[in-house]
Formats: sequence, structure tokens, C-alpha cells
Amino acid sequence: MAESVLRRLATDDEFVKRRLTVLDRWIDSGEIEPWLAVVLAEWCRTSEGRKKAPLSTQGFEDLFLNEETFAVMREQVDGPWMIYFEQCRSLRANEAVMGFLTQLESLSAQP
Amino acid sequence: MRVFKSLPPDALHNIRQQLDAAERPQASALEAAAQLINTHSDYQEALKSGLVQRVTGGDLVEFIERMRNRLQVDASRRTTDKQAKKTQLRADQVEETSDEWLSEQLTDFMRGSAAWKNHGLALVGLGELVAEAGGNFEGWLLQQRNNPVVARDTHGRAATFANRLHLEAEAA
Repeated sequence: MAESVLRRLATDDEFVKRRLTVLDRWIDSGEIEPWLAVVLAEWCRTSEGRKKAPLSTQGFEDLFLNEETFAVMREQVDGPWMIYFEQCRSLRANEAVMGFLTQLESLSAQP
Repeated sequence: MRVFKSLPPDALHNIRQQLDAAERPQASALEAAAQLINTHSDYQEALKSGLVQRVTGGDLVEFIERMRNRLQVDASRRTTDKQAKKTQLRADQVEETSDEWLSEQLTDFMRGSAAWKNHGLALVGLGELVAEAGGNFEGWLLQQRNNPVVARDTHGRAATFANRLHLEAEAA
């Protein structure tokens, strides 16, 4: 097995370790791109990941938009990081704009 | 293919005219339009709502028009090549040129826009334009699967992996 690209932390408990093992296996078999495995590994350390909940759109975006997490992910392996960062940022901005538009629409419908 | 088939022939022109005459928010027009498509099951309804006219901007209009013009040129060239066989270019070489150009356009497009899953409008429009030009959009998209920029619904893939990850980790 090749050396893992996924970082190990002293604070990783059994929950995280198990998932890193699975991700390493997927990387070795070519089932998943290393950069995407890194994303999932970091997600496992978040509160959403630890709840065994589905990976939400917000959870996915948060990984890229959190400055510290994003830097940690980029350090581990090469990947299309900036592309997805820009996409997540656009999505988040878009949500805000759509919220304003919806409010505007409601206001304009009022007499 | 429903989006642009449902557009009246002069819709793009009308949208541009309305935009020229109206203020619009400082946001990516395409993203806003794509979001609208996601929230309106029928594009005609979105048009009627008046929101599309307000937020669909020149970016989208120009992109689609540019794609249409270029694809028409490509299609014309392909047809000429295939029928007359006057050039030494093989058909697949021409296809490759066209695909490279498409890939480049889409890459630029995606870099400035939101995630793939929110690009129903652009994708559908693009698919229709490629089909009109005699191209094989599905085939092209399939070839692009490994291109991270055009990887379809990356969040969806990540979510699928995440579900499996929990299952396999717990089963281990």
C-alpha cells in the first residue's frame, strides 16, 4: 500500500481512523480521486460527519469556504481546489442574492 | 432540452432589451438564472414571473449566442469535410477540435460560475445547441467525465461516497 496522502492527527479517534482506512483503500484501488478523499476525510472530522448524517450541500461548501480547512486540504494533495473553492463561493453568494430577490419580489407584490 | 425549446424564438433578444433598460443586481446573472430554473419547474413560469427578465444578464445571453455561432461554424465545416472529403482532416480530428473548443469554453464558463448541479439552464442550452449543430453532447459529456472541471455533480458523488464511507467503516 502506498503512503497515505490523508493526514493523521493525534486527536483522531476510532471513528475517524476507521474512515481514513476505508478512504486509503479506495484511493489505492483508484475508486476515488485523492483530493476528493481528502475532502471526505476532513468532513469526517466535522460535527456533520461525526453525526453519520448525509453530506449536505452546506457541509460540502463549508469545507472549501473555511479558510483553515481549505488550506489544510490543499496541503495534503494536488487537486482542482481553486475551481471548487470558486464554485462554492459563487453558490453561497448566489444564495444570498436569491434571498434578497425573493424578498424584493414579495415587497413588490404588496400594494 | 426543455429550457430553450420553451423559449420563444426572440426571447434572448427580448431579455437583452429588458436588461438594457433595467437595473439588475450585481451578481452572476447566469447563476441567478440557473437558480431560478431550479426553483421553477417550468421555464415558462419563470419567464412569466418576471424574475428571469430581471436577473438574466448579458453573460448568459452572450455565452449562448457565442456558442450558437461557433457551433454553427463547426457543424458547417464538419458537413463540408464529410461530404466533399476535400481536406485531409479526418472526421474524428474535426470532432476533436470541436470538443477541445467546447471543453475550453465550458471550463472558462464553469470557473466563473456556480457548481455543476446548478447549471441546469446552461447545460440544457448547451446540449441543445450541440445537438442542433449535429454534435453528440452526451458522448462529449461522457468523454469529459474525468475532467474535474466538468465532473458532473461533484457534491452528489461526494455525498454518495460519504454514505458508503460510514457503512463500510461501521461494517469493518
